[in-house]
Amino acid sequence: MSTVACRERGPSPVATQVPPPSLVPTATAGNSATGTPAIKPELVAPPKPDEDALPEAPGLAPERRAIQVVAGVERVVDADLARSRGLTLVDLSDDFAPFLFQDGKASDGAPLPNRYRAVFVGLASDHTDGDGEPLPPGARNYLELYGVPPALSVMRRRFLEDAARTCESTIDKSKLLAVESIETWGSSTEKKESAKHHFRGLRLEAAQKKADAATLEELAQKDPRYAKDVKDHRRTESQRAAFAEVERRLLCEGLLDASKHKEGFYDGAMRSAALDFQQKNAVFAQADLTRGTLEAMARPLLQNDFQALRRVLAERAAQAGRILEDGSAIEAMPLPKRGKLRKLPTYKNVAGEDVPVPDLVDQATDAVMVRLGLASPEDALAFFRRHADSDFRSLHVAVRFPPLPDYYGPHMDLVAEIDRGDIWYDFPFNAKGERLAQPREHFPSFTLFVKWRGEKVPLVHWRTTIGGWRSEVASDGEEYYRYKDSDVGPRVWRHVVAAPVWLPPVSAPLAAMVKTKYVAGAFPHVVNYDETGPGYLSAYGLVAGIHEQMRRRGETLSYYDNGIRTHGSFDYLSLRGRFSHGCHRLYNNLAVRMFSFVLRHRRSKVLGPMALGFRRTFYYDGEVYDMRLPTRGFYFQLDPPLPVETLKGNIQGKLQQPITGYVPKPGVKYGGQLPKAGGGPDSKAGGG
Amino acid sequence: MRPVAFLVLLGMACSRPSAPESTPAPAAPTPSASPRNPAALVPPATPAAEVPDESAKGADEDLRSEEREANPYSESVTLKLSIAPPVKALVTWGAKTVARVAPGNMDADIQRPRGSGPLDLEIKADGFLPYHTRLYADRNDKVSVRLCRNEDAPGLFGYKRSVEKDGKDGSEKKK
Repeated sequence: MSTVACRERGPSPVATQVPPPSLVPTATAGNSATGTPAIKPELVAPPKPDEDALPEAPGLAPERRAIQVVAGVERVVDADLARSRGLTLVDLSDDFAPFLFQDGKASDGAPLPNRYRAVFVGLASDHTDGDGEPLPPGARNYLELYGVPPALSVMRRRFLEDAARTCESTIDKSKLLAVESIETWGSSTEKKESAKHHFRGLRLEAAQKKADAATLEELAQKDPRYAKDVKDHRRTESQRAAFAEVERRLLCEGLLDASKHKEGFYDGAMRSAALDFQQKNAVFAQADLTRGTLEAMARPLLQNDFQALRRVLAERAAQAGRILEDGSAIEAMPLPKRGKLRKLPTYKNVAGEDVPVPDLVDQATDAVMVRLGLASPEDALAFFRRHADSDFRSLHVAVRFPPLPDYYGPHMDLVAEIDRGDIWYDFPFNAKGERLAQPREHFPSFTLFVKWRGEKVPLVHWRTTIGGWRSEVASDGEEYYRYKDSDVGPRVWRHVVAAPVWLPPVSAPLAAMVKTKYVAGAFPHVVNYDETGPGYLSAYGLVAGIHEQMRRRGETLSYYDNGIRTHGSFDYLSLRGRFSHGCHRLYNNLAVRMFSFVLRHRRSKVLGPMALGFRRTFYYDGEVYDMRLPTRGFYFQLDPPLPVETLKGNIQGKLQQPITGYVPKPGVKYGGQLPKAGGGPDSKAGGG
Repeated sequence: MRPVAFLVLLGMACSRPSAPESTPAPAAPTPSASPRNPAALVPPATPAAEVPDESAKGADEDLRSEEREANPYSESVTLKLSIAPPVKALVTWGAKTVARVAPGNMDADIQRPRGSGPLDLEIKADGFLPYHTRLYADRNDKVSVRLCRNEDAPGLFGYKRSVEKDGKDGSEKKK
């Protein structure tokens, strides 16, 4: 058993990347009579004549009911008839969980319970926390960026609550959009910065008076020595004005608790509210008040809800249609010459024609939106007004999905490829401890291909991570740098693990293994299982594919696990250019979608929950803690295994091979001999 | 024996886990070519990760299915806690008292709704360090724990690190 995972600590180079297509809000422009930007204005009505409209079927048992909106009116139709007509039933119920989390059956018919399913459903519907325990009254899970999209009843509540708010008109959007971002600090620095701004204002005021200038700008013109100060002062003023609107917006949306917040300060309450806002609206910024955050705050509440609803329906559509293509495959195509458009990825259809790889997820989501009559936020509000919470116990919609490309089948010839991109093996610090520039233009990527008619057709192409220089606690208890490499060459995924468990190495800091948690009316110290999982915060995310090397000795075939996985990750910002400990991270929702797709289009069997029986008893701060992890996760076995090729990438710098051992941290005095670094899978990839 | 392995074994000396549970052994060391002086770094003779180490475990070595339950969809589950040595002890779950055990009956049986979340328990007994363990309510579960006397703290895994970090003996603080 490997005890490694691909976790990350410490500073790393940062680069920019656009979020994955599935998380990009789809509204871009437009203007309806209500001032609400339109989303996909072409999604108004099904094509006429509406051949997929089924007759009304009143009086059916709940399990046979589906809905359709026909000519603007919702009706109940027969789900069996829908299936027989080739329509897809998209599950809108709160009981939905992705395929990976469904229960299985053993070969003898015995049930194999997938225990994380209940937790996933509880999290999505705001009923439970990550342990499966009830949420305190009024608490909400905002876990979409962690791979758990909200259930439809949660979306219903958002729409109804937001439609009832009357505070939206008090927010000055022009002030929000007048700045590129708002600088924020910790509390002590914030006070200093605030004082600095105040005294600069006084200084400028005095100078303005002395220079007999009507404005600060005139002062800057008259005496250029003040130009920078005036510019800084104005910028800070604009940011303070925008900050006040952010406060108003967060209060309006019910995310900021005024009783815990001190006006004008970016305190814990406001930071937490900003993070909730970002998680709720799929804004990639961990509580930083970025331009994306401000733009989302400048949008009407219902508009944001509508975008969230589309993202939720995209996940439901992808699972119902067993599809994966999301338009990202174009990124796998070579960059075009200047002035040329990038070539679309194509495949050969049965007629031998080159046909573009479609964006099936987007098309299927459109189809769902159309069939539910959802062309605007107002349509969505009407939809949720006519459905009670109880409707979402078993609601389905019957939809005609786009035709599947010819390469689809029950056992597709899939192959995964990981390109490590630009690699620097050189130690990233000089002897003085200064960080050396190691720029990367080409970042690591993950591509899933299908082999079809002699070609490798890319289905998706996403950013991923590789290992790099990381801090590690050695056996002498000291911290060193170590290069955590990602294996190169042919490997396979034989096992896919839903809700995998990560085992912390013995060198893991003990403080991180204990936390305070609300438990049955008290806040005791408990073992921290967040990073071990199973759970969305696990170092392996919600799902992992284990990289194994097939080794043949004579007639014997064996598999070696060197600790590398392709796995989901809650640390979505790490996908923007940081390093892992050797594993290949994906956004949790995309990892769930991709491995669900793989399992449904490859021969596989359900192994079910695998025993682990891990136990570690440790002392911390005068108490004894007993970490127990009975399960490894819910296992699936691909048969045959799916090939995964990790490309070497483009080695930059002087070193052409990684350094295998520890390297002392510049400026740190060490006592004894340099310890030897472990060589097994536990320590090589080193985690996550 | 490597220091970390030694500490783990010392730690396990106070708690005797129930039969199938085990602590994984730390990875075996391999030779490394790490220079002291970062300015004099040279590449190693062989790439680090392109060829898995021979010490890498066979992937199926530890893979075994969980023991099947008679009814994995039953409404409730039974959680069993066994405590040693035989002393008077209080078992709490947050603010709730789950059991009081005493010599003669050191076991506690707890019925919980299936899937209702794990029970993070704390066991307190005079002369012993507070002990935290977890029982899982998504299946029938059982755990045996051996409490550690206050004076045994220095033999526990993590003691050295905890004391070095705090500069004091945490067990003293708790007395």
